[in-house]
Amino acid sequence: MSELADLGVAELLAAYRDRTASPVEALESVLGRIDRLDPSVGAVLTLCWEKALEAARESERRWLTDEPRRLEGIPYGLKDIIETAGIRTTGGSLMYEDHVPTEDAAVARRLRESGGVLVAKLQTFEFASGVNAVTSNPWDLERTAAGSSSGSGAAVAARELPLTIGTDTGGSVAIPASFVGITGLKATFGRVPRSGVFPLSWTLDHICPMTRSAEDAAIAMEVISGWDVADPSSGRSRVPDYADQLEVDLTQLKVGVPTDWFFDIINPAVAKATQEAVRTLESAGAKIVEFPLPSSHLVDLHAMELTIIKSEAAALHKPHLEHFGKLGPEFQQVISRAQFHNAADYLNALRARHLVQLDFERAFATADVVLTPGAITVAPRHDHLKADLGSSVRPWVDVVSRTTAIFNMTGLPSVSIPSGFSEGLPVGIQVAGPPYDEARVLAAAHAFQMLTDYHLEMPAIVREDTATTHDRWTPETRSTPDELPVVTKTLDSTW
Amino acid sequence: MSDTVEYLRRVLIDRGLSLPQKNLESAAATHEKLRHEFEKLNSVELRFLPPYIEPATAIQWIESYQELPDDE
Repeated sequence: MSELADLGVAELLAAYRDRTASPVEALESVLGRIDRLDPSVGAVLTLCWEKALEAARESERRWLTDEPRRLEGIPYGLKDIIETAGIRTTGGSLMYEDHVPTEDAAVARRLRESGGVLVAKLQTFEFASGVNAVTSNPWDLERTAAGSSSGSGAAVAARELPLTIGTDTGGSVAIPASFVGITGLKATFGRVPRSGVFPLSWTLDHICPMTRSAEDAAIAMEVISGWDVADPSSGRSRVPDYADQLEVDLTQLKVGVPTDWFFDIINPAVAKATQEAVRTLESAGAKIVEFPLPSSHLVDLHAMELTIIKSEAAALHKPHLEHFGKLGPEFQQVISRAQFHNAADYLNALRARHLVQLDFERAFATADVVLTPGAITVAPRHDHLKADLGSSVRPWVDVVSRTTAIFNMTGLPSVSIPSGFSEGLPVGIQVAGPPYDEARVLAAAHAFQMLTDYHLEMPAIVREDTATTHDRWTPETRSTPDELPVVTKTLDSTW
Repeated sequence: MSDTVEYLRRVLIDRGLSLPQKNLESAAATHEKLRHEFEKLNSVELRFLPPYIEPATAIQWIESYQELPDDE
């Protein structure tokens, strides 16, 4: 049997149910994995092993007495902008390095009340606004895991945790998911409540599960979705049993492929992998339909994203401006560059969003889901954050969110899943659907994962770790520090 | 470029903020690099007469796909 840390959410639940593994054993396995790999990967900021052991023992009791909850005994981690009662929540900022909330964020509370075992708070960049220099890509430690859900993505890829929660404002889950070869679901705007999560942009922020498979994301979504009284922007529609709706008849599925925008600026190998993914679904019976995005010729989508995010960030962070000097240099620039946009610029950027939505509304008249590239390149090196586009090389931050932020601006549900490799590094695709139809999106992604095994591939450091016999993790043998300092410097100075 | 740096410096002073000169120049340079993108965005034609799009229309469009709220 493989290391328990190698198992996904559904596999662990099955192992608990069959009594072939226990939550305490699984926790010890992931803590051992963190001890061995995280000094290189850098996904963990705060380790909560004592509270985790307590929660895992309670989960063990519940499995033994046949009263398990939906995520009973599943180890998970949270991006450190998600508040946790009694556990520091730094927002990746020195301004909050000693901040210990008294209440859980809604998503943290739901995971805890569903039996999840919180193991770690995970690295991000200051107020979820960029890419840190602390977290490395488990597939190549010289390369970035992207961001701002850097730790959340890397922890899942390194098999340190089977489930993490990230947040996505312009691609902060989709891009890391592509780079590290995992599944990241950005649900419909409002589907997962944001109460208790540090905001960056109130019209674009989303809370997202990051897992190894669409099936695992579906299980997590059943727990974290749904209306919350403390978040007026959360949707009120009933939460489906996503995991029960994963089967889809591919011969009845119409997959839309965009003819504009998504393939204009992209690494050729990534574009090729996307076309191969389309052919995989077509070969299995799906009908492929092309659709245009006329708005992408009228509206500059990158400028729209920047105008909205920076304007809202500047408004949200007004209380922090008294201590402007305590912000890191990158976030100071975010606030400073917001000053170039006036109120009319911001409001018209919000208005123009709807032009893009109308394009997708027309697409969904003929397609059930749309399939696009994920991140436009493979992960660049930490010391060379450039986008290799084949015939040209551009600063990475100028183009990195090109294929992802469009789903924040439209609010559509989209899932990023692994779709192949280039230069030994993962590449991804995105599957998106109509608002509040995460079930359809997850079913299409699940179908792709049943046809391929890219999501099962493990980085070499994980394969080597799995092949080695290790002593059992105990509190006495642990080597990972409980808390690491917040770092607000990045190698990328132009975000 | 120097006009942009000076503009940003004065706006920040007006807001009670300041940046080291190097960071000020970097922020201004990044904006200059993207200026054509912002100009394209600002030139998009949005109707004045009905039916026009409001800032909240995008969120309302997302919500309109939802089922009706539960009775509870």
